[in-house]
Amino acid sequence: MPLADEFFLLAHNSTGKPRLSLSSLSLGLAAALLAELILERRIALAGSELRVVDDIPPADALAHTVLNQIMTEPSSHPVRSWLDYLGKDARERVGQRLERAGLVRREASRRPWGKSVRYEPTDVNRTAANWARLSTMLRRAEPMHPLDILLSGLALVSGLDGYLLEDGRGPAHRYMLQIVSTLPPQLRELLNQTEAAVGDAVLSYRT
Amino acid sequence: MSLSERSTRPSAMQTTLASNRLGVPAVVIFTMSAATPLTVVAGVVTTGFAVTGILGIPLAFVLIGVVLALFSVGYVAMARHIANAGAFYAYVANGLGKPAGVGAAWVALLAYNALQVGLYGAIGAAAGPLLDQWFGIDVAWWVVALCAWALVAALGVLRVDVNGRVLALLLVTEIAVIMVFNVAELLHPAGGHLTFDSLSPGNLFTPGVGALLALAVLGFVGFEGAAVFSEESRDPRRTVPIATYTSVALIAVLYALSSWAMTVATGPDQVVAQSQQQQTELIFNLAGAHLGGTVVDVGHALFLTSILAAMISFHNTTARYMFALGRERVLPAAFGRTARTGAPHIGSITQSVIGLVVILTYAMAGWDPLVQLFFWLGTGGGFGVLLLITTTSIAALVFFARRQHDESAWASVVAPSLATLALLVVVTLAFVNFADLLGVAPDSLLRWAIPGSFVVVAVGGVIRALMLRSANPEVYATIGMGARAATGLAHQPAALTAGNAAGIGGA
Repeated sequence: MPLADEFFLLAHNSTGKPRLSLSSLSLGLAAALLAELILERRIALAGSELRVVDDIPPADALAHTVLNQIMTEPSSHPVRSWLDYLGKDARERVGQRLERAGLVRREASRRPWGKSVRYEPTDVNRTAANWARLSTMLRRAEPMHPLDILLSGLALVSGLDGYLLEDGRGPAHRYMLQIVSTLPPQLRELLNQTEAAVGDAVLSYRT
Repeated sequence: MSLSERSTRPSAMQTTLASNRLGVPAVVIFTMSAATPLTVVAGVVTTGFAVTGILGIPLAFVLIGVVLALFSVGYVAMARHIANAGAFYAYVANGLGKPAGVGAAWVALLAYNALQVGLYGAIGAAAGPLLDQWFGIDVAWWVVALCAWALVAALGVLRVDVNGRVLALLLVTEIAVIMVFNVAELLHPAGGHLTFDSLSPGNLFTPGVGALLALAVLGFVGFEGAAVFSEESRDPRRTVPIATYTSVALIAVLYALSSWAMTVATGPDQVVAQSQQQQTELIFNLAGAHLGGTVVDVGHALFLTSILAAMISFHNTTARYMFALGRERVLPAAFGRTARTGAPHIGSITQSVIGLVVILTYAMAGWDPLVQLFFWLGTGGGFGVLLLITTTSIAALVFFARRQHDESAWASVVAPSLATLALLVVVTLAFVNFADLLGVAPDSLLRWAIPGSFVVVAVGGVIRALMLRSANPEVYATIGMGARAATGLAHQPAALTAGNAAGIGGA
């Protein structure tokens, strides 16, 4: 399953409501979409700038359109701007990909104070098993697959770590920090930038 | 495609992100709505006349307006160079070093908490008589205060900030009502002719002048907020400075005019006595005599919403300060986390607990809500903010002196130097006249305790920073970076070996 899909399922509860504030969720998903392209070696971070290194279209349709978006920009932009920009419709787009794969059902409801969209998982056991697998590895400090480490990193910077570990700041949290810091520099940079964006969104929040 | 084609094509990203950016009017509204003018005019000014017994308040607003405009030159220039530009302590950390920065952060926490909690006294004192008049119910001030407290506490955790449009509407109506009151007061001067006594510079050469200046600073608190929107404004180099100067100028003119009009309507010789007697009702009574009951009712209602808006605003400022400090690990990391609503809930709850404890203490001790809660904590908090502004001014001076930059000499040297000198004079006068500011005897313990408390927390902050420097250098390194310090990763030393994750992403 693509990284952004994994993160999406982790970040929604069994009724399809987000476990995070919409701004944190959006930034986390945007980071996951960028990470997919970094893993496919289509884009790279040079410092905090995002650059295209290979324009061969990725197999996945969503990854393809995101790469197209990046390529059609007249100049390169800082990764921070990409997080803000892609975050605007990241939930909608990743939700669509999961819907096509038959993993969630989109339910839109209108309320007097606004619209709310839920992405209900079609197989609750499967999403719960994903959570349990990741959580167990972290709590037992087991060696982890790089993709799981990256997923843990996304959970950490978006604020899902409490949900994942349930024990606050114990040894599991230290292991999480330690293993995430073994990621290659450009993925660490992506996570740092995401974490900063998540925090800034709280500080400059306005209605 | 050719290179020239690439560079002239419009960027979809820039178009989308720009549509969301703020212009000068929006930033001014956000900045001013934290200033809540009616709270200052009806609450701070009248209580100020009553407690200090000095006429010079209108001039003090003008003078402090000029000093703060001067200060803002260096402030907005430095805002372009640092992260977390909305918080004074970030300037201090960048200019004067991290220990001073943490000291400033703790002073800010104490000051903003005092300002917020003091408002519970104001709403209790103001709403009690109105509830009696409107609905015939007689409730103690602390019952009202507790209701307001519950509302603020709930809104803080649920992250229901008062909507920007509602705040803008309230702000504009407040200013309109104040201007109508001013006109009515100036058209009906006591004794039949306009008096300019309170504007005579002689009023600033009286023994209590420091008290007036500190009081005027209190009216301006919140003007620094425009810098928060640096990254969201259309053109940070223009939008934030213009919005800051505009806010300072509007506040200075509005408050100077209103407090002068008050002295005209009561007669300069009567304003102190009448403020003491009628308290926050003074401007409503003055207006009511000429404008009729409806306008006064509207004014009263706006006074209450104004205090509520101020409370919510200071509550959120305090909670976000704690959030930023939690991200930096200067406060425990838990403060740097958010609830599912996205609210910085630990900071919010902490601030609410402080408010509750203070309200209950005052209620049980039977202390006066207006003078002892609102005015003492308000002026105390205002003094703390004055200390922060002064330290920030020095920090800007040092910051620009120590590095290469492209700011003008005016913005980096001249204006910050003049502002620093002026602010040091204001701080000294305010400290010397602190007993006058509080309206207590010169040998009162409070006169030393309130300024002293800021010194104590500042020293505590410095010690905390020095402890972090030796015990936790990674945390120490990120002090002053606000949210950019992040919760954990930035504090984690980079792995020495590429480890088992080297297989992905390349290096």
